[in-house]
Amino acid sequence: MHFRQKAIRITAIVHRDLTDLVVSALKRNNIHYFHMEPGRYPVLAKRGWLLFDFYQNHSIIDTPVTIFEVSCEAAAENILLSLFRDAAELNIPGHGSVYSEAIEFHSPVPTDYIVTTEKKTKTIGFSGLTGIFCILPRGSAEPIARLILQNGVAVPTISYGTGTGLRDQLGLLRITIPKEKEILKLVVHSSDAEHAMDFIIEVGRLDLPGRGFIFEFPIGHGLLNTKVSLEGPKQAASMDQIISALDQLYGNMEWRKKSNQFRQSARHRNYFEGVNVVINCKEESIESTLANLRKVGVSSSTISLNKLVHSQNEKKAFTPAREAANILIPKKNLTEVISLLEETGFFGEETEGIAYTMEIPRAFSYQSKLGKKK
Amino acid sequence: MARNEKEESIHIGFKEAITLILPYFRKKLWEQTKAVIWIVLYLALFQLFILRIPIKEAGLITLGISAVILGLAFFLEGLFLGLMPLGEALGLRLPQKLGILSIILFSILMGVGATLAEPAIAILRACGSKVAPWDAPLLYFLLNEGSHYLYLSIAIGVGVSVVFGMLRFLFGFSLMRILVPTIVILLGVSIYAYFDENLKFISGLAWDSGAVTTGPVTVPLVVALGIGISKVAEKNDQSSAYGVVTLASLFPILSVFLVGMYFSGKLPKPMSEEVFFKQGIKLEEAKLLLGDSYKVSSTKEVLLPKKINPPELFKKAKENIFEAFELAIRAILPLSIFLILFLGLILKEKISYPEEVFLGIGFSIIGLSIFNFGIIFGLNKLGDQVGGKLPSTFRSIELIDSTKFIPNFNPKSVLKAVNEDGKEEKFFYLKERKSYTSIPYHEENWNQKNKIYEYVPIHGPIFGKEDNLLGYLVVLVFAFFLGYSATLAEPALSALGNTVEETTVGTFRKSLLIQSVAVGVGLGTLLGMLKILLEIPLVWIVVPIYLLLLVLNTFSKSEFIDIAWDSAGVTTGPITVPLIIAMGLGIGNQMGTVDGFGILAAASAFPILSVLIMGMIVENSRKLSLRDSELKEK
Repeated sequence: MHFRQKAIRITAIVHRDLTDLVVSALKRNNIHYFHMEPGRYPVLAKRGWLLFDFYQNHSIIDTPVTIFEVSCEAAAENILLSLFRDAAELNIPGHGSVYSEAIEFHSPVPTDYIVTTEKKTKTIGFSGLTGIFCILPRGSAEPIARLILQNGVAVPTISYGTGTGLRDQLGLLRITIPKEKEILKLVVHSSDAEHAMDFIIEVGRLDLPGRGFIFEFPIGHGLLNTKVSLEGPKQAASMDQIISALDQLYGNMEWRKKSNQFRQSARHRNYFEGVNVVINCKEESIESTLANLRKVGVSSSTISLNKLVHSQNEKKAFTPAREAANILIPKKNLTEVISLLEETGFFGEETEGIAYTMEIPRAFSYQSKLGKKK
Repeated sequence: MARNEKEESIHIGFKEAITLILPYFRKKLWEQTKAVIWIVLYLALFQLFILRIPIKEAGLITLGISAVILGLAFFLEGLFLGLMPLGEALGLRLPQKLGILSIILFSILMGVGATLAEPAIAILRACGSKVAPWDAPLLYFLLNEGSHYLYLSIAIGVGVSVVFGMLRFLFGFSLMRILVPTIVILLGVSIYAYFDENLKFISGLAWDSGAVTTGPVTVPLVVALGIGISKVAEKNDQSSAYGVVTLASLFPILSVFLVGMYFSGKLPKPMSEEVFFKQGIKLEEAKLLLGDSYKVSSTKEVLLPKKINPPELFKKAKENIFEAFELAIRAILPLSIFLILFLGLILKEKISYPEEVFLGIGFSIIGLSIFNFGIIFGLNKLGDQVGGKLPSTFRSIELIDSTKFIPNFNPKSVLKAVNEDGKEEKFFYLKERKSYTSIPYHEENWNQKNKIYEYVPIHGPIFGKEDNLLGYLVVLVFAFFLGYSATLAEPALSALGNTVEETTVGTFRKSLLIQSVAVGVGLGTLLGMLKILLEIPLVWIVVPIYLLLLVLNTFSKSEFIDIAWDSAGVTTGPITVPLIIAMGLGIGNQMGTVDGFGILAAASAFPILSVLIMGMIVENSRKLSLRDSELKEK
């Protein structure tokens, strides 16, 4: 039996100092399950004093954030979006962002895991956004984030993860290849997405082997952080405030289009499409699951840790320490992968697995010449 | 994504394997070289250019230092591959499968086991031979005959603190709730001890043993265990896995004091040497103090270095290598077997990537052996040389290790001179290369049979006259940079730095942590040095600092409080401790102090201060990123 259910995933990125506010707001509103993951968003530091200003290279200050993830049915999307917006006052620059994505569950989930509602609310947030998800070796997100901020593309979020792939087939020699990865996520206007992606590929040298990969994902609605730098305002309102005021005035972010600012890359990129399978289970059991998946040819994935919080005091609740993996596969392999997960007991009590997918219109990674021909 | 049609296992040839392994090794070695190079350069250049004494056995020391680098690289890599994943897996599984009583039992066992394995404690004992039983009977007892009581009390102290740390994660209460009462009790006990004749002398030891306990084996293991437990603990929303290490360095202080109080009544009070031998002490007391052997060695043995011939040197080296290897095995093997058995037999869990864990354990043993060897031959020797000669900045000292032998010495060449009081003194001229130096003549140094005259060159004071202020100042500056640069190389701090960077997702950088801790250790060493030079009682240093820290705590965020207090416990490890103690003993001998303890206690209190202050600065910039603007606030 193949279980399917369409849903919406809300992702909120909130300054860590506001985490407690958000958690209590979620609990107050009977949101029983939500995932939390630590991350950081970089901000350009203030300019140096006097002579130090010669050195135009802005330094970066990392602000800790908490990344929340809640799943809900389509009708509850706006309620959750406004819940996050109100709890963390996301309309103030620097407080964070929230956005929604369409996902599809392929596994049964605990009751209340998907938030349902009967209330009707009007839509909030801007549409026409695209998210970019990028996996890089540890340490390389910093310079990319700096360039993104300096060009005013968006405010990225960075979190830590580990990668599997080639190194797991090497045996003990794998210890020579670092598995630590950095996950860089940013949300841009859809018409800028291709250029932003191209920009990151270029700066991050993602066209070289072993550097990581990048894909874009469609976003339903979103409210975005506009705090780019710690520089105090020289006018009555800071640039960040002006931007967010204009956003609200237009009711969209169309005016922020900056495609013409990007240098057009002359190189032709071989993009591919597929689905992103997100599997989430008890910590320490994802490795064996991924080893099983290798049998059907899924070799690379990115693992990150996230904590599942549930406010009910039920005994049969899921374990809080959890691991999630993003696996990008061609669409035609989806049924094979899901049935393999089912066969190996991934959704059983032992691993408490959850699996859902999202469509990926465009992805890029280094491909060997041989791979391209296929 | 790339999809292979069937599962492929990649076969890697020898050449490809080499191309993978070489850059990996180069990277790891380079990291450690960067960490160790500062302390080595600093010691070497200080001795060469400021003290102006050539380095003895430079070849052997270079070999030793390369061993330190190689050993550190292996050891840390092994820690990350083997012990830390084991600790974290245990932490994840314990609360899920076992009740609270079993967790407590496990924590005690692990704390005690890890501490007994810790190599740095042995260093405390090494200082014991320098204490005279009549000056401070209790101190002498704890360091010599009763040293197993000392070890055990330290280990139990660590065990209890691991229990408290784990309970804290499970129930999610703040560190301050344990920290404040503990520190208040500790300060109270220290003040009480200050007014007790016998206990007075062990307060330095007690505070130092707290600093020494938490070394490169205990810290990563305990922190990993804490990370595991705090992940599954439901009540812990803002998970922070730190705080155990600081408890593990505070509780032993208390337990050492308690043991001291217990034995204090059974031992004689401090007395002068004559009273000790003439009037004597009660038989029971003597048995307890000196053991069954009942043997008091002569007060001062002047050890003149013998010429060591190559075979003997080789034999000594072999012994040392064996000893280093044994120490490493004793530190790591029993502990990892205990962890693996516990995970497999009691929790019935498989280890993910077992071959990686075994490789890691192997790496740690190899690394620790090479590291121990390198410490004995490289850093310790260099540190002893510099430490022993350091007082020459303000005093003239005898360079015993460069004793010269003049064959065919003819007493007829001895001349007479008159000193300021009008007394006659004998001296002779020695021609070395092209210059003539006058050397005082002492009858006892002339061996009539062999016709060899032995003389010990005298060095210093380098900066002006005896006991000059500039000389003292140079010593203090030296102490600061010694503490600073030794901390940069400390392996446990490097491991903690990695974990901090990992758990804060890069918002608290490893380099930032290490730098601020190093500055703190430098300041602490400086103050500890001042303590020895001016003979300030330890209480006067410890009480104000800890009170200040408690005040600062109330202004900081819990995230930084936990990390700051933990980094204090971590700072004093196998690199800092011997170097600082060598320096303390060098100066202490010249000043004639009874116990050279207490520098470490100061050196581990200041990093808390510096990390807390650094945390406040970082916090300030983070607040800015939350606020609309600065101006609006005003």
